[in-house]
Amino acid sequence: MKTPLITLAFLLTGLLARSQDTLRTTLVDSVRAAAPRYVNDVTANTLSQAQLFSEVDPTGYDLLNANLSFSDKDQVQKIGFSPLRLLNTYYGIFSNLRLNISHKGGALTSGLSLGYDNTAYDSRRVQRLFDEFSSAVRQLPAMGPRQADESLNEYREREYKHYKTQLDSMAGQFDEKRLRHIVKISGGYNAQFFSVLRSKSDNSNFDSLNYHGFKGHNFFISGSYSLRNGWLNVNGGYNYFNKRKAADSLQQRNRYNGWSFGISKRVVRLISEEQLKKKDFYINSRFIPSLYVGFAYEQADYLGDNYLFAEDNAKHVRVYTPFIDVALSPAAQFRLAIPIRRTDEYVANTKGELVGAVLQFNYKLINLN
Amino acid sequence: MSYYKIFPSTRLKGKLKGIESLELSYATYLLSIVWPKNEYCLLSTLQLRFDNASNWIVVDSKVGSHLGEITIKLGTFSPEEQLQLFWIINAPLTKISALAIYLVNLDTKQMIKVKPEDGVKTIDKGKEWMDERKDIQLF
Repeated sequence: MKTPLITLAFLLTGLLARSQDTLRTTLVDSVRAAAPRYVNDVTANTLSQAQLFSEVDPTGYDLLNANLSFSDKDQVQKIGFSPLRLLNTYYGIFSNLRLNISHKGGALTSGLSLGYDNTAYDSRRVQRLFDEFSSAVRQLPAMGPRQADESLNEYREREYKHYKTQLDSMAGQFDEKRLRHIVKISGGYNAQFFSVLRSKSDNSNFDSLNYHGFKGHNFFISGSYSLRNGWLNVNGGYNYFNKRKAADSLQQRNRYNGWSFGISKRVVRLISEEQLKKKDFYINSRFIPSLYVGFAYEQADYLGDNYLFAEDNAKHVRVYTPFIDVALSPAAQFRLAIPIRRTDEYVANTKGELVGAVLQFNYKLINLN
Repeated sequence: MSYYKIFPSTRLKGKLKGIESLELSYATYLLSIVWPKNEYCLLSTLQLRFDNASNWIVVDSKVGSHLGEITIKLGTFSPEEQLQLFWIINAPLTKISALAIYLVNLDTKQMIKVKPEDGVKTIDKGKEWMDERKDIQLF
């Protein structure tokens, strides 16, 4: 007798659980369909972090942005796209999957990368801050009951106004804590191609200058740290290259190591703090229109033995770049830089120096905020 | 504070004089607020009153979550009654891109949408949604 009763109890429990699950699914579906993916938008460091390796650097964490760089030597055009940000489900670092397409010096680079951002609302760190906020907000004095014939506006004036002031202050502290230490890490792979992908003829000597379509492989890892929402920014990275100098049939792929390091500091706020607090972009993302000054160092080392395969005939290339970043809005930022390029060349062991100027623009084409 | 009708329960029935006349059916009701996970929602106050009452009752105050759902037990009372609900929902930390409020009968698993009547509500970061719904016929 006991067995059928237990079975019945299990069945009823199962039905109840299924019913609750169905209810939950219905509720969740009602908002999921309408909800666009939320994107975090800490934008202190969206300009490309390097000159020498700018074509392989996946700038930014936005849904879609474009980056243009002009100099006497190279023009770089880049587009970055994070398609998984369009989904409603968070897949950890895979949500920051980024496609990178760029063009520099006649070569096309395309790649993908994964990124981590500790200020994203999905990150465990911010989830802990959410929980802390939930505990703290319970300490606020509770609002009393609405009176019998009290209108919403009257209640707002009587009970809510003071509560809201305190709540806003606590929310400001939350963002201050969230943006005190900003850590971003990216890693990925790029494939590089020459402008002519394929040339073929019965004549073996035909177009031997465009014999190779594939230029090389690049693996990279880079990271940045910002203190107090961009007051001070530090970044660094390592690049592995195995690439050809040129497309002609004699060229072989050879190894290069690339290192980069940069530092910048906010020196001028372009809008006063009082005005800033009224701006929607500041409320949404805590973006501070600012002028930054900084310095970047980059180094590329050729690891091959044969000088014929070394890019620019150089064993070592070092670039020292003082720059000024002007961050006007989350959507529009530009950099003025003066890279000083020093090379150790194979030709009679000469050393060379080149001083140029670079203007770089970053456009956030689509943002989900 | 949740609101309860306990006299219809078998154990209490007949303990007080005249209680036999309260032969109402009753059910437990929940209020569910749903929105996308990882957006932060703060229910700053939730108050109810029955249509035949003059006072508002504070059911709950200051429940915050980033997990996509806040469900509050309103209480146990008769499906024959009419309710009014008043709430303030804040988006202090993130924008809330889609939010809806439902009233759920826990016993029958039926639910009705309290607000918004069509679609979903969006609350910008730093803003609030202060609103009410009158004449909710329980079910």
